Amino acid sequence: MRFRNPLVTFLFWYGIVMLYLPLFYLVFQAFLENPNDWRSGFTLKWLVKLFDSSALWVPLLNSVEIGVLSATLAVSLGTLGAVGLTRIAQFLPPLIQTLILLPILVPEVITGLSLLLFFLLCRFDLGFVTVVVAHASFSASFVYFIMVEQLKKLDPQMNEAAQDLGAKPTEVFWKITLPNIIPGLMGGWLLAFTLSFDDFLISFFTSGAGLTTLPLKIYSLMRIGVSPELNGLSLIMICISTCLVLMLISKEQSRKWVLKG
Amino acid sequence: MGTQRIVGLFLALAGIIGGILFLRTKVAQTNTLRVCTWSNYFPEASLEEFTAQTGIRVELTYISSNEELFAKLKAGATGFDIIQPSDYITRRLIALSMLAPLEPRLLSNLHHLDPYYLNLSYDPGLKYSVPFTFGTTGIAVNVAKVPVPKEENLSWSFLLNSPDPTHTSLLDDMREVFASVLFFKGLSPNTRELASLESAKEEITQIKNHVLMFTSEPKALLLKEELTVSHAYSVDAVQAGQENPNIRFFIPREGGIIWTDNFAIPATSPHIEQAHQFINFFLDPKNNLKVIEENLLATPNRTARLQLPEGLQKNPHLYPPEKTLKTLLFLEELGDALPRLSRMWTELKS
Amino acid sequence: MKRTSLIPSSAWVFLIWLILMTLLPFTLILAMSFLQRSDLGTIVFSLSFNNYEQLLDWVYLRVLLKTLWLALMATVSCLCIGFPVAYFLARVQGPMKSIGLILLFIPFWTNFILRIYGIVSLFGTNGLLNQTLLAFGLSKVSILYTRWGVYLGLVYNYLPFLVVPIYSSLEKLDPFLREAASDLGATRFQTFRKVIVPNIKEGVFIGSLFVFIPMLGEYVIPDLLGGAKEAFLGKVMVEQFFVLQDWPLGSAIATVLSVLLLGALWLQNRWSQKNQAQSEGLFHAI
Repeated sequence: MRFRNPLVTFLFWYGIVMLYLPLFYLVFQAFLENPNDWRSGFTLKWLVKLFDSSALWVPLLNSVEIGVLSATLAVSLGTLGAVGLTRIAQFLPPLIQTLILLPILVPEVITGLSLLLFFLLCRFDLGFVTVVVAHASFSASFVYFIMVEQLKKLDPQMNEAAQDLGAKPTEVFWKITLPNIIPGLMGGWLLAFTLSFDDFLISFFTSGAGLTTLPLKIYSLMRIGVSPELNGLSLIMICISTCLVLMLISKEQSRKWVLKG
Repeated sequence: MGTQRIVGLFLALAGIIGGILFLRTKVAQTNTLRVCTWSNYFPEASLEEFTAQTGIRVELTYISSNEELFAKLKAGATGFDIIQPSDYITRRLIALSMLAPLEPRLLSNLHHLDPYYLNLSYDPGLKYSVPFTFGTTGIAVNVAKVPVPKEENLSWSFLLNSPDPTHTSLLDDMREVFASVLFFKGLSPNTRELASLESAKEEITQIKNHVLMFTSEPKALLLKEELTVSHAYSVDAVQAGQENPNIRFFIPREGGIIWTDNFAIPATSPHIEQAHQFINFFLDPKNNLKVIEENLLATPNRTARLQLPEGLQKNPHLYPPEKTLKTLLFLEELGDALPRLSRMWTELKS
Repeated sequence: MKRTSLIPSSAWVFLIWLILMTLLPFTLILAMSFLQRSDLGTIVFSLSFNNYEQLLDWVYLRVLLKTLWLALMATVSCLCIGFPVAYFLARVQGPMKSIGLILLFIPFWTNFILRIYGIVSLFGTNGLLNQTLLAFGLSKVSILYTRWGVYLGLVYNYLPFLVVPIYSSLEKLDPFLREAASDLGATRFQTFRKVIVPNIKEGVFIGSLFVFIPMLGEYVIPDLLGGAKEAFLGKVMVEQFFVLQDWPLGSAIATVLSVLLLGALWLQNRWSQKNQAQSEGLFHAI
């Protein structure tokens, strides 16, 4: 069935255009001779300059490293939680439920400030490690919810059936359990990575010593003044985010297919 | 059961990540000097030379305000070996005994400093800090866009009643903004009198509604001509002037603020000796010269200054002449007036 | 597996992590809000409600009211723009749905500093808007560094975060409900008002709430788009920490914001017996 209500369709496209206009213009600017004048010619020189400078590579590498480590940590913790709590997820006391939701719900500023305070009082050196831990602390809850969904779908009878057919517990684990939760794990990992990669505020508060992630770099360039370099960085960020979203969505899509099919 | 294995797998994974993170903290600490500085102070080449000479790696952290630095130190941030507090924060850090006393025997290049900078009020005799650079606060004007009166007649009112208010900015710094108005009114920028502060606040509330913005980083906006009159630090104005000669810097006739950025070693530094080496390295006129030429900073290092090209050496924006120097004041602690000032700052922005 | 204890041991790893890394830091903020600040900016350990009394001062109340008003306007605007988007996505079928969802999710996951920068490049003094105006011989408008800039930034940045929960609550709506209504002779508008609205009311409300509350604490948008001319709650809070050295007062503001949030959550929980609702809504947002 096609949906035809011209007004709603128009308003939808209006909303989408509003959402994309600034982003497209950022990307467009990255190719302009003079980023402040759209009638000036096109050039690749800003991008070439950016790729040559360490302004891109150092923060990018930091962001990726932090993303990978914090996502892995978050997936480990979230899965541990989900494995233990799936069966009783609905009956959890509200206090514990609120605790799990807390990192998702509380405004990032407050999470960032509270973690800063915590790290400083514990005499942790602010830096790479604190950022990884801080990122993992809020993305673990997201992973938890994904894994709970995933584990709910896991049929316990399947394990029993396999065992009845003579599979050893090790085999059951590697051949039945693990393949079944892998889509959830990958989805959760990608989500945690995306959250970490995009995060600004929490990194801003918890990255004391000499650490620049990509969003922090963009922020500082923006404060100091708008430079053509900045547009190049935006282009790269938008490309990476787009890839991550497409990966996440295709994961989701394939998971649905598997379930339906 | 499958679940137990999942648990085992992920416990192991979490353990591995924990291990990596722990090792990282250990590796980072060996023979690396962590310097907390302002952006654009140390060119990469100079740092590489320092590493080549001493074998000590340098890791830079940038701060955007003195307050941020103080907040981090006060809350117990450890691991910094060199910090660069400005004068009034240095005073506060000394008062709270948060700085390690300097050992003159490790600073053989100290004698290159101009004697004026050896006895500043916030740290007489340089017991805890060594000035690295200094500057002033005044008004940067794009003279091609806005006509300016004769230099000696220019007053703070040029900023406060700007001829081009929609392209005017004030520093986003409470003390500096109050100082500019207090100077204009003929009062001391360090006054603690409530009535004076209150009247300054009224004035700023008026001005706020006309000007474009508050910003502490006006350089790029000046260059893009989004700002034509800007309350600015001399460093930013001189750097902008280098790219666009129409941007000129003025210290109003009523006087202005002078500030220093210093080297200091936090009491918690694990590398006190290497930190001295770092300070001494940049006190060496040869190295000092490279930094100040590259970044157009004013140096208190007399030997280095005398080796500068004529134009820079006599640049009145970097090195105010004797007459102007007498009108310049350091910002001082306000004690119990500070919370009141903070409140006024919030009030006038609310 | 043992069923004797309520919570299995593996879950404890996760829960202890949460207690250490989430609950404890928040408790620290709470504790800090009852302490005092010395003249030199250090923290004095003497318990009092002083900071909260200070917050009752008209200066902070005015900031709070102004922030509430701006956040409210921005939320309502988000709702007006976002609802049709969500409605379309929920109703449309076939490939258009996937395309539409992808179109929505890309800005949703694009870094928010970048989205702010996008606003700057559109509405800045030399931005696209002003260049266009100049090209048509009109005079420039200044939106950036005014309250309008902050408002636009809030609407733009939070729009995707509102569309997603509305979409998921519309999605959950049973399509037969609508058909049944039209079979019973209801007009389209009647169906919308009598069947759709009551069923998604809660989802929309929760969605709005989770846009509204972060807006109250927003720090970066007023800083970058407002030219630092006006103080909003988030900015005042962060300034207490990093500029004015009054950590206890900053903590008190953070506590008040968190209490507002938890209060809203509690209200919502009482409103609907379905405890799962908000976590599911959020799950669908993923």
